[in-house]
Amino acid sequence: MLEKGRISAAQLAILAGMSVTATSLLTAPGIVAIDAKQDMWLSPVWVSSAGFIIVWVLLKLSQAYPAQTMIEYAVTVLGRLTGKTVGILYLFFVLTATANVLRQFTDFVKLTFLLSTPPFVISGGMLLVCSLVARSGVETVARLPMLLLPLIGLLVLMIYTPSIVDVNIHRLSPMMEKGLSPSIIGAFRLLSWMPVFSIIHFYLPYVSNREHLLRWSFGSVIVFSLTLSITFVIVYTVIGAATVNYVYPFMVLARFISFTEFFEHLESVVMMIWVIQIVIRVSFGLYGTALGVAQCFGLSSYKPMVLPICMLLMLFSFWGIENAEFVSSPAMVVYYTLFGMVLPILLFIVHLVKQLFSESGKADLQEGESAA
Amino acid sequence: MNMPSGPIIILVLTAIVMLAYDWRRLRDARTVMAYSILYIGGYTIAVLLVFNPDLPGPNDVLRPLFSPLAKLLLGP
Repeated sequence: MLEKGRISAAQLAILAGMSVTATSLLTAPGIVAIDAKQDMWLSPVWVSSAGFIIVWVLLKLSQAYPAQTMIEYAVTVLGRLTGKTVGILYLFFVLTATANVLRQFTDFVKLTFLLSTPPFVISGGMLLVCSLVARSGVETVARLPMLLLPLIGLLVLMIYTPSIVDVNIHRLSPMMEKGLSPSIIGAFRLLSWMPVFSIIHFYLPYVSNREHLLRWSFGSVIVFSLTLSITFVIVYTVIGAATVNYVYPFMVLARFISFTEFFEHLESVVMMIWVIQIVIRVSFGLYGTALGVAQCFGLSSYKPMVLPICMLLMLFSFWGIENAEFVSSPAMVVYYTLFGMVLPILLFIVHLVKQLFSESGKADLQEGESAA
Repeated sequence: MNMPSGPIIILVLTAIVMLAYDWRRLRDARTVMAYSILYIGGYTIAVLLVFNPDLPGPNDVLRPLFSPLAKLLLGP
């Protein structure tokens, strides 16, 4: 076993939930609003079903192989060559997904706050913190979000509560003007965040109280969908149809706030939320990748892998990317869904079929023996 | 040929610091092999990117690979 630490189901749920919320809070409203418009608050409800499927399939697989991550049980399920190939491709997916988040962070900070800082300084500083977190082991990675959750909750409420004054609920009508299809297309665009839930399989072997795992993981998906839904309602009722024009509508929301002419310039609060959540998201992906690489090569420790993977993350966040907006392009959504959702489901189906055949094989053998 | 000296100096410095930091942990042959695959691969990409920042990256491979399916699902 590469890791001696133990975490609880609640910690894993908070870690996963906060990691998925990280980039979606800031950029998702502008992307979903393109198709869904005033129905955008419905999209998280549809996409939560995808989250439930991902989490349920991974938990079932983890029940079948309790001490293994997907990199290991892919070899058991699919055979050595195919399993290793699938594992390496999946690791590449986690690496690129985390690198894309890092690029979004760098772009956001560079465009709004640190205008003349070279971008590699921003992402390098972020990666330095995350590498320290990931090297400290699974317990640090999982407890950090638990520690920071109250702070994040408070800061998010500091943005939401003053904006209630500007809420114009009529902007949400006409509700479902063109039926359900716009909100479902919006939900499809949200699928570039939901598959991130699949990274939890790197942490599942180290959960101590497994009996609560299902409840907490489903709770995490529900809280994530609700947070997104509430954010969408507030953003759309305050900004209106112009949400589409902004890359960071949440930032516009914070700039809108002028509460009794005293409570102003809350952009720095958005920055605090963003930095903390990106630390959690990147260390979530970084620890997973380092552990996966170590398991793939059969190493005795994952810790030496963290820094080279940091370097690869940094390179992948700049290599051949003009700006961070490509993350929401349909091709990337398909890529994310394929690896984060379809791959676990396929593994699960293959596992079920194998189990079925091995059981019927055993039954035949026993019948044969008894007949003889 | 103009050498971009700043990025090269930073790259060399990070290379030395990273190796010095991880040196004591690299004991068995498997770890050294895995580490050097990631390390040498990463540095090759980094040096190539310093000299040619417009190098086509992994996303240029992924996008044409998945866009037909995306078009099928979302329409053009």
